[in-house]
Amino acid sequence: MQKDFHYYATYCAACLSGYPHEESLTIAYSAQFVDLCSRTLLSRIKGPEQAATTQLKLELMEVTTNIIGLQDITRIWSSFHFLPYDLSAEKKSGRRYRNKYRLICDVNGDLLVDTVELARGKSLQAAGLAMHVLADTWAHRYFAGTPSLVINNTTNYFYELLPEGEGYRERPITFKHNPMGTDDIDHGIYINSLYQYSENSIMNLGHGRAGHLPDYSFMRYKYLPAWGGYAEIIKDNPSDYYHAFCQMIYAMKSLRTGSVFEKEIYDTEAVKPYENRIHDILEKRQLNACEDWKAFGEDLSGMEIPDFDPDQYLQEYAEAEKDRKDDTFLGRFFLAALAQKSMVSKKIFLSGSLLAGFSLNYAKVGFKGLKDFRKLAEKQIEKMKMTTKG
Amino acid sequence: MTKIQRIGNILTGMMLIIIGIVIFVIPESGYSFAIIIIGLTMTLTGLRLLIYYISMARHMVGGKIMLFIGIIALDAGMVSLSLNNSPRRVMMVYLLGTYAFYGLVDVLRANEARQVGAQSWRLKMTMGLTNLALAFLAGLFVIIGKAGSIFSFLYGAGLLYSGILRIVSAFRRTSIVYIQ
Amino acid sequence: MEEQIKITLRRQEHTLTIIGLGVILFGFWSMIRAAIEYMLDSSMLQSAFDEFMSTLDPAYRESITDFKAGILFLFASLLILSVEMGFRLYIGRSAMAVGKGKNKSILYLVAASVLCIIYILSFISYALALFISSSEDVSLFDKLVYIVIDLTSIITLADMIIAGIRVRRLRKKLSRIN
Repeated sequence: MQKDFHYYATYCAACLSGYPHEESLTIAYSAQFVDLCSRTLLSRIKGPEQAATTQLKLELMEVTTNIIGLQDITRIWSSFHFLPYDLSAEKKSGRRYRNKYRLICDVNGDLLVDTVELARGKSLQAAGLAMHVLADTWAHRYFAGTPSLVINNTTNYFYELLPEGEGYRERPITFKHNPMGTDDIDHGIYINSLYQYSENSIMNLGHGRAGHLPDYSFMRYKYLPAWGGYAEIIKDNPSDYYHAFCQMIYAMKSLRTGSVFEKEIYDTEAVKPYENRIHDILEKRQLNACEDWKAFGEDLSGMEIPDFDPDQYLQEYAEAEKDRKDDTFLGRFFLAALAQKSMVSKKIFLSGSLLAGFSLNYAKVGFKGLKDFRKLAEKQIEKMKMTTKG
Repeated sequence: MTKIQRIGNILTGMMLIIIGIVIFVIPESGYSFAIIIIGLTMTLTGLRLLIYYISMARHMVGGKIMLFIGIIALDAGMVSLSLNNSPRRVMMVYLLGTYAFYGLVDVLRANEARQVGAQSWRLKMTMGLTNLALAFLAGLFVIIGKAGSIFSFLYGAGLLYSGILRIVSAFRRTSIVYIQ
Repeated sequence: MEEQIKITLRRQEHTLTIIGLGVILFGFWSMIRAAIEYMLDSSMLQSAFDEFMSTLDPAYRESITDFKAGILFLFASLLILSVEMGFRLYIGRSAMAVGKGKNKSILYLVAASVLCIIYILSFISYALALFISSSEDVSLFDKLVYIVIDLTSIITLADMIIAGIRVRRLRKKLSRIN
């Protein structure tokens, strides 16, 4: 998904779930910040490197796809953008294929519940991060957050479904590889990543082979996913994005009120008065729906939504004292990111896969590994001590 | 990285360094050695692709193309190995072609990286252009009959560099902590 | 039921398309390999030339110059290679066209069967040659290479023939349902 949904639509969902304007902005900002928090940004403010929630194109070009690089890529992309649906999925295949197959993202998985629960009782930044992950499960379903030709590849069987009368007209999609180009939605020419027959090539990460199509709310298309055994998949983005929006409202209400979060529940009641408007925004053929979502959000809250400024909180974090950094806006975000990455990577490790690296039981072996996670361990110990005292 | 993978990387790196030194020290036999290595590499690539097809790509839509690429690579490797008994001039032309091919691939990849703005494009471009320039120069030397043992030195240096990189990467850390 | 037929049909169509492409690619690679083996290695070229000359009438052989013999050999080689490549191109392109739904011919299946039989005979001859020692120009290593290549070609061509037949049947089934 793009800024139009992660920032503006999340703001709208937060408002509809009962959060006041300022808190909705915090949640929305954090949701969008997941797409910007790269190692490059973190190195500017001397933030914890492992809190990276994305990798820039430049960073991906520099990464070596050896085992270390691949694990790093998988930890980031599976944790924040392609949440695995079923880490215990069975597939008649070798272990290597099965491990990658299990990373395929889809909606309403157990990890989604874990993600929302992880944000419970935590900061608004954690809630925003969870909403980003939730929304991306809808947009990025059927792709995996690890470089894999056999999972993420696409073929030239790719058709856009254009509404015509009561049904749809099929138009073949033409993909071109041009890193500097833009999508031509009028003629059905889209940019995608280059075909590389190497299994672990960066070009085979996520939905690169399908270009930006999953991120356009108006797109309906059908294709053959590489893992699908020649079964056709019809991706209806307007419907998926609508479900994502309703599920975000339900999730945020659950976090705000303390009610249980369950899978496959969508708060359609809350959006009923605005259903037509939302559908109009989602179905409008445009590469960027920021203006429409922003107008909707401002109508909902009656307040102005500032444009997203990626540098808004950088100075606060950079200038804060070392022992006060965690209390800054970004400090809370980084803690949430570390927790999410740790949780998802642990689940992947426990499923028997090393695609996201090793996870260690801190209680048994003590602290080992990447130092950025030490602060997470310390906070957990602090929490355990307080619970014991209480 | 598991311990076994680290050890494997270190051993592979050491082997590459040793072979590189041998090619340096005995340049006269370097040609044959280089051809055998290239042939074995291509054969192993072909086998690797075939194994990849059996273990992974057969589950993929359109994965059968891997089978063909693997067969062609395997065949190319075996052809390379069978050239070992050919006259030196033949082997030098073959090596020249291999360097030119890899040089072209590096240049194209560097161009791709440059378009995206990655910093690594300069290094890749330098490597690619160097390969192409060397292939061209060596071709000139072949024509005038004074190639000597230049390929042995070049090939040996390349193996040394690869071996060192392998050993360095074996010592990189990889682990995370989870809270329980 | 219909969906399952469509899935199977897509799978077989893809198989046809890919194997068709593979047959063409392999044809080109065979040409390149022949160029490397015969043109770069003079001993192999010489033995091929000698074999060609032995097929000519002895009287005619005596009457022509070396240059003329060379031209004849070159022409014959190019002709054989062109015929083989043309054969493969026909099979490959037809398979790809049928796979993409642009063609309904079955002649390519007949041609593929002929090629498959040639490979089977070649495979048998090399397999037997492994066990029968005789004065030959081909080393043990080369024999193994040819055996592997022949075996793979047999399997892929058989796969193509089966896929071609199944595509026809499934398309008929689908049109009956619709």
